[in-house]
Amino acid sequence: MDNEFVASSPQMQEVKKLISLVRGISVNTIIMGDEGVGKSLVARLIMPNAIVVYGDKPEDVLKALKNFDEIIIEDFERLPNSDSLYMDGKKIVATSKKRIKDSTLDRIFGIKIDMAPLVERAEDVPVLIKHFFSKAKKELYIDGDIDMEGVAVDISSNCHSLKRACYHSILCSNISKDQLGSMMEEYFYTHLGESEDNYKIFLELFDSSIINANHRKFKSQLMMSYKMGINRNTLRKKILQLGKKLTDE
Amino acid sequence: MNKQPITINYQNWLEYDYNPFFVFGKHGEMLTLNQPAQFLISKVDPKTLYELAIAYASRDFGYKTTIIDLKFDVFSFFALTVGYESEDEIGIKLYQTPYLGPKKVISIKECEFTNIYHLLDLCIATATPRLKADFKKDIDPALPDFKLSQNEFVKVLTRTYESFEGSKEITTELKLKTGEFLQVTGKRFQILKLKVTGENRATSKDALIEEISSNINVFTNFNEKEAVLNIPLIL
Repeated sequence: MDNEFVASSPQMQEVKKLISLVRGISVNTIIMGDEGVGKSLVARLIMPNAIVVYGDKPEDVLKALKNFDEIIIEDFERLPNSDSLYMDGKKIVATSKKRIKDSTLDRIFGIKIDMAPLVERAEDVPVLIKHFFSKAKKELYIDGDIDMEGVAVDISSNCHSLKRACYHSILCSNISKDQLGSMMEEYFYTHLGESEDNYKIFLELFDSSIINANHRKFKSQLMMSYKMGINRNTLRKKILQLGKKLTDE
Repeated sequence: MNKQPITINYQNWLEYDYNPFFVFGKHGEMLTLNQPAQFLISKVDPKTLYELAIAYASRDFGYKTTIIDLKFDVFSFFALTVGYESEDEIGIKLYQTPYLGPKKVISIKECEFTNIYHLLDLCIATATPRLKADFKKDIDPALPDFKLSQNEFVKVLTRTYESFEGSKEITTELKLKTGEFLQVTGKRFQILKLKVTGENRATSKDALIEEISSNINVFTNFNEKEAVLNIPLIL
């Protein structure tokens, strides 16, 4: 797991401060927030050596409570018997995507950390993109500079979707002709339909990618038709057929 | 009933009663009081008690008991009896609410040596994003580490701070009380007084705060603008 706390927003600086304050003392903590906001990372930064169990596996939670003093319970909201579990004398750090009952909060947890979604802390997006790119380069053994501008930023699932978008972008920009060929073959193979217009469907996919790439590079339809070596009317017709809305820049 | 004459001194029964008892003169001057009453007057002005006696006295000479919830600082009462047999003296006895005891008191063995400043910083850092108040501290800087259940205390203090939602400025005072002690499992400990003040304070979580506090031998008292936690300094 990537245990680096990457953030520059004031909200996350406050969370960073809380991590340093709660680490090393016996205070049960619950970390709440949407998918991908970094709850698991914060839990592991508070208790790096704790056993990790999941709320949807209550038998594992019971075993951990019996055998360990420091326990991270992920997806606490899915733990069916949280009100009846004996947790005294243990240090618990839990994560939850949903709000949990006040009575449970009051019985178990000293503090609650709320993690804001990325949409509320835009300052963190560029630093996270930089972090994911550098991580991906290391993991995928890619040398040289990568253009981070081209990444289609997706924060619908916060860091999860952003990380996927970064890896997707880095893989796409470093793919060889052969790799692309085998990827397309694999894609076509798994998506072959029962209909008799497979060729048309896949050709559209092909056309669409070529037109998008040319538009990104050459900006205007005039330049695109010149560089693609096709008539401007033919290009316009194809754009219309594909239902694209391309504006000249 | 046995006709044997009773020789026991009734006055001693009043003197050693668990409940405070006062006798006031016709101008409100205190004529006598028992031992529990001496503790009570350290927290409430005798004039208030005299006015209470006048307000709840029977219409004619005699005795009248009224069920009423009263709270003076850490003392709470569920009833009072007022009696007078002449115009010159009036007596009042207040009945202390029975202390049911905490459901589960954390033993000293289960407590950890704690740096109170660290817990204060943690609770303020937790409360800051939600309350958006200016937190001020006026604390004795020379307190030693002492034994405390960290998780329960943090529960109490974070919920205490949350009760000040809407306050622009929240002040925390922390100092050692002189000459006062708290008894925990038969031993006396000095008291650390932690007082939180702000312009607004919601009372909805007072019962919860009180309940968790009592489990760790911390005694609370609240009013409209302040919350006080009396913490035993267990070394």
